[in-house]
Amino acid sequence: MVDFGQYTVNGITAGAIYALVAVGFSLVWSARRTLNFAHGAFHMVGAYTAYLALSTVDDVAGASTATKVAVLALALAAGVAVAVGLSSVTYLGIYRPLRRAADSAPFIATLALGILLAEVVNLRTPSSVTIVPQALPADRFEFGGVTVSYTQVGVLAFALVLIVALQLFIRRTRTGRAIRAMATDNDAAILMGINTELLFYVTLTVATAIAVVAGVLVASYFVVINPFLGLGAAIKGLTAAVLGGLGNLNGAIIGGLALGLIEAHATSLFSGSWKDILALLALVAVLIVRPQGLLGAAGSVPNRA
Amino acid sequence: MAAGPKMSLRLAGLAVVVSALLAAPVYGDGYFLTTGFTAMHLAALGLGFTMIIGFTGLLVMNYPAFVAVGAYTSAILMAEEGLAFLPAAVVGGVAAMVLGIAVGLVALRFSGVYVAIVTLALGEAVLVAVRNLEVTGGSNGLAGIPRAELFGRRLDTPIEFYYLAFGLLVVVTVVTALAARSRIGLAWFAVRDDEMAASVSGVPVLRLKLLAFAIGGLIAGIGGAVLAVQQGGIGPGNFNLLQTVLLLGIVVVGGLGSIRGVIVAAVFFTAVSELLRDVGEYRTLAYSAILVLSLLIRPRGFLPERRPTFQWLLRHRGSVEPWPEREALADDTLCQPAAPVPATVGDEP
Repeated sequence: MVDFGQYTVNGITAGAIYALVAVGFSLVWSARRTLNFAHGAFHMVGAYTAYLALSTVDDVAGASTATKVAVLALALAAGVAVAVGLSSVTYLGIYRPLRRAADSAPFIATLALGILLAEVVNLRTPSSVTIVPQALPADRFEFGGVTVSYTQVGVLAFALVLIVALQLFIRRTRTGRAIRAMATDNDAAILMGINTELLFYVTLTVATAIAVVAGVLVASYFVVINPFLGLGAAIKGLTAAVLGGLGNLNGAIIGGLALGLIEAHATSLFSGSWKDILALLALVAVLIVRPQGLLGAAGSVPNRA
Repeated sequence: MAAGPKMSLRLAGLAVVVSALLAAPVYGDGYFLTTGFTAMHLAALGLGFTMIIGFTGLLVMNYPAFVAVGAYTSAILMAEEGLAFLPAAVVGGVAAMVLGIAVGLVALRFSGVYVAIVTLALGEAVLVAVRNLEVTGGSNGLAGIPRAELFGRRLDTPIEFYYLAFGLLVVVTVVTALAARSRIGLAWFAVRDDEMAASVSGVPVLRLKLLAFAIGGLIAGIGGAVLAVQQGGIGPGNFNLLQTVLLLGIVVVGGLGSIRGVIVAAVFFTAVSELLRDVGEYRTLAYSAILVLSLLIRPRGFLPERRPTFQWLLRHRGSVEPWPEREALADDTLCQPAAPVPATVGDEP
C-alpha cells in the first residue's frame, strides 16, 4: 500500500511534466493541424538553461537556498526569452516559408530542427550527460507513509500554476478567444479579421514557452540530463496529447497524468526499460480504438471537453 | 513520349555510370570501396523507403525498424543456427516484409500526420524490444556475426562488400523502376495524387498500399542483412530515429518518389559525411541542416520524379486555349494535384 502511494506520487509528478509538454503539441495542433516535432528539443533547451543558470551559483560556497531559488526563477524568465527566440526561428525559418507546402514538409523540417538543436547542445557540452545542481534542498519528507522531495512539490506546484495560467489565457483573454476561433474554423477566423499568421506565431510561442519552462523544471527533477532527452519527451508528450485527443487542452493534461501514473505503476511490473513500450503501445491502441482520443473530437476547440 | 534519341542517350549515360561503378574497385583503395559500399547501401535502403513513402505518400517513420528486423533476424540465424548468408538474408527480408505488412495494416487506418505518429510509435516499440530482448543482445547489440559466403566466395574484404552493395542496388533499382513503370506503379501514383479518384476508377487502394509496405519492408530487411555481415556487429544505435531522419533526408532531398533522386541524394549525403570525416561529430548536424534547407529551397526535392504527363495529348489535339504558361508547369509542379486541396486549416482560401 505504501508502494502504491509512492508510485502514485511519482507518477503524478512525471505526469505533470508530460502534461506540460503535451499541451504544447495540442496548442500547435489546434492552431494549424500540424505537429511541431522540435517541441521536445525546446523542452531539452529549457533543461540546459536551468543547468547553465544553476551551475553559476553552485560553485559559490555557501550560496543559500534563497539565492538558488532566485537563480531558478531567473532561469525560468530566461527560459521564456529563449522560447521567444526559438519560436521566432521556427516560425520564420520553417512554418512561414512552408505554409503552402504539403503537410509532411513542416513535420519533417521540425523533426530535423529538433535533431539539429540536440546536436548543437551535444557539441557544446563536454560530456554526454550533465548533472544539474539542485536549487531546493535535497531533503525529503514523509507524508502519510510516502516519501516526497521538495523538488517534487516544487514541480507539481509550478505545473499547476502554469496550467491554470494557460487555461485563463485561453479562456479569458481576447488572444485566447482568437486562438479558439482559429482552432474552430480558420477561414471564418480570417473573415472575422483575425490575423491567423500572427496568431499562429503567438500560439507557437506560448507552446514553446511552456515546453522550455517545463524543461527548466525537469532539469531539477531528473538531476541528470542529456541533449537527446527531447526525443523521449516528444514521444511521451505526443502520446499524452493523443491519449487525451490532439487539440484538446484538458485532454492533454489528463492524458499526461494518466501516462505518468500508468508508467509509474508499471515500473513494479516490468524490468529495465520495458515500461517504455507501454506508452507506445497505449498510443497505437488508443489511436486504433478511439482516434479522437479519450476526450472529445480530434482537433476540437481547446477546453471544450 | 521518350523520344528515341533522348532515350538512347539516357541508356548510354546509364551504361557509362554502371561500367564506371563496376570498374571502380580496380582503381579505388579500401577507403573508396568502403565509402562506395555505404553510398550504394544507403541508396538501396532509400529506394525501399521511397517505395513506401514516395509512391504512396504515407509519412512512414519506422523504416529503420524494418532494417533492424532484417539485420537481427539474419544475424541471429547465421550466428546461432549456422545458416548461410543468402537464406538468412531472405528469411530476414521476409521477416521485415511481414512486419511491413503488419505496420501497414495499422498505418493504413490513418491519414496525414497520424500515419507518422502511429508508425513512429511502432518503430520505437520495436527498438525498445530490441534493446531489452536477450536474443538481440540488449543495448550492447550483437557482435561476432559470421562472415558471409556467397556463391562459394567468402566476403571479407571491402572489394567484395562493394560488389555486394552494388548487386543489391542494381536489383533494388530494377525492381523499383519496374514497379514504378508497371500498372501497379501508375496506380500507386494515382492513389497518392487523388485517392478518391483512383478508388472510384477501380484501383484496389488498400491492397496496393500494402504491397508497397511489403516490397519496401523486404528491401529494408535484405538491406539490414547486408549491413549486418558488412559491419560484423549491429546494435540498436544503427536503427534509431537519427537513421529515420537520414533516410527521410535522402528520400525528401532527392525528390519524393524519384528513383534517380534517391540514388543521387544517397551519394551526396555519403560524400558530405566523408568530407566532414575530420569533424565527425558535425555529421548529424550537417544532415539535419541540409534536410531543413532543402525543404525550404525545394520542398519537392532536387530531382523530382519524371512521370508521363500526357501534355502531348492536349497539344496534339490542338486545344483551343493554349496551355497557360507551360514553363510554370515544370516537372516539379506536376506531382501536385491540379487544384491543391487545403489539407490544413491554416491554408488560406
